[in-house]
Amino acid sequence: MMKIISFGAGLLTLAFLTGCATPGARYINPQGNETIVSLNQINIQDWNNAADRLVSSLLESGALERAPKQPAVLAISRIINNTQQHVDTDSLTKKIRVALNRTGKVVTTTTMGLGGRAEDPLAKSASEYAAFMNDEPASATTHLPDYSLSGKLLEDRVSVGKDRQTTYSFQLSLTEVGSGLAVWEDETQITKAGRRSTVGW
Amino acid sequence: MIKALLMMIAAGAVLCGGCTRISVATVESAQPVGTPNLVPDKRVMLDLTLRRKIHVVQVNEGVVSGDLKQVQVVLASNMTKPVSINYAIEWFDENGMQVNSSSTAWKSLRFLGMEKKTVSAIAPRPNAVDFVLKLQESLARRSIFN
Repeated sequence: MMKIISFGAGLLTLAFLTGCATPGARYINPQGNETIVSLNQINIQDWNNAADRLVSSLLESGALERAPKQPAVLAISRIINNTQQHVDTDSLTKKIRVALNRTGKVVTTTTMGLGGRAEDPLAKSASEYAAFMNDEPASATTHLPDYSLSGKLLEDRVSVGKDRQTTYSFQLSLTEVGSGLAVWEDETQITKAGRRSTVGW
Repeated sequence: MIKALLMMIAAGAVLCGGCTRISVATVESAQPVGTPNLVPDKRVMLDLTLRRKIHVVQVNEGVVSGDLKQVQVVLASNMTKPVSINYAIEWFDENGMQVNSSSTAWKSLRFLGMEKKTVSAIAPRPNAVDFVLKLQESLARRSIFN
């Protein structure tokens, strides 16, 4: 009898520990809830979540409705990474650009970038060539941006014993180029706490 | 025999314990000034456990940025202990075709005891006119030892 109970308890524990885990590699939905949650880095769901919240905030603010023209032209300025990780800030800005572009209220310039560097050098060259052939100044075919997007990524880590907590702050500002005034600003924070990384959330 | 049973009960207590029961108390105006534009909704709840834990209070909608539909769903916990759920909002155009959107990504939401929370989303395009809110209990998590 004792053996049966012990065997049953062992099986139950095993079931709890393994669950529906599949150790082999498989495809999962990057927008789903089976992704890894790690405490020491920004995960794909964190980028998605931060971008979604910031886009919603920007649209709710009504700042884009007051743009001098529709769709407004947006340029991407400096996004400072003050976290301990090496991250590509496009993980955030590209999602925001795509979402804003879909609304039809914003188009992003790819021929004008920070420090004079164009995201699409071919488009810039072609535009300058077209201006030259038409006897126009190079700026004639360039759309000057109405707004520029800048921001900062911050990280705050704290631990007590084995418990760890990490907060990532995503700060963005939308500056009206004509006036130099920030017409929208927001910050969203994502905090993760626990002792170790997990699969699924 | 008794010792084994006691050990199983203790193990059960450890598994079920650790969830602090703190309910959220609220105070609000008896006559709110805002008048929400309530949307009649259709609900399909397949998970009886989730139905026992969470219920939909109301669905509001509005328009932001000129022509983009915004929806807000008020959810409330039925439990006195914290509950975590995941949710996603999908958008559809006037032809019933699904529209790609960042709000389609699943997000997590944690309720304290008896707490009400709102989830909201803005249509990705002006032609996104209908939505579906998906709710799911939080998945069982598997730790990674690293």
